[in-house]
Amino acid sequence: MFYKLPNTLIDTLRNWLPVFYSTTLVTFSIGLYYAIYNSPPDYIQGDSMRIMYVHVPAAWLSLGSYSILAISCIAWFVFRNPIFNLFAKSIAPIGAVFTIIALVTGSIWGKPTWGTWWAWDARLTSMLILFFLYIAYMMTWQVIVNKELAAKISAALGTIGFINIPIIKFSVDWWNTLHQPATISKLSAPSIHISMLTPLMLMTIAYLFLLITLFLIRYKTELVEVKISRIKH
Amino acid sequence: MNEIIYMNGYGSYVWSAYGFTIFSLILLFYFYYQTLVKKERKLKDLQDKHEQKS
Repeated sequence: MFYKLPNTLIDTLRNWLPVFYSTTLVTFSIGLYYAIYNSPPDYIQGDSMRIMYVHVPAAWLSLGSYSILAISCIAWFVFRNPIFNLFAKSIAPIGAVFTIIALVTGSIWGKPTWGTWWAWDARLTSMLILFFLYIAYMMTWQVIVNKELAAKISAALGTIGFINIPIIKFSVDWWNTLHQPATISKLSAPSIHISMLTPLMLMTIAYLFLLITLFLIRYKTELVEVKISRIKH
Repeated sequence: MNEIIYMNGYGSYVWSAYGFTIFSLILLFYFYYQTLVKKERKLKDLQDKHEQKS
């Protein structure tokens, strides 16, 4: 099944990628217009709150990306199908970049809000650990020459790192942190006005389309790489 | 226009955060796209050589 799949997928991806390029560009343009121009400043934080529109979607999707990575690693352990490794390998660098964006924009937001660029509190530290987990996962594939061993170690690392996701999510509830609690929750109404929720949701959709676009490009690259190595050997 | 640039004194924070985000995402997209183009070219070359041999 795996050996037939790449050819079909490469053709499908070739057709769908331009659609995702344009959708990402359009949603980002609308999102940025609302975030910068068409939303009010916060009554306490003023205009510094606008950083939320780039910070929060990056943080959400960095957690989402790691969840996909970890589920792919677990699926690889269960089914031993290399396609799950391709999923995990494709999403890891994107998740790492989203995490570093969340960390850096959070740090920039922290300076005018908390008076400091960085604090070793639970949310910030667990996010930094998430970044290191992504780096460790990618390094495993780069450093270990034996690809079968690399697959085993990286899948184990990706699965174990999954523990960090609920820690990040609930860190603001379990410990006293500088970071504010969640403003959007599944169980209660959002504690954010609709005028600010709209740009936040638009930017989240834009980030999501970008994530899908980048994932498809990377996945296609991995499939091409598989074909190259098959021709070589 | 000045309002958007200065943002009541928060302009340097807001614009540096947006600048970093957009720069990182464009760089990532560019790097990914270039890698894909290079790999596809390499695959095509290999396929052409393979066909010539057979």
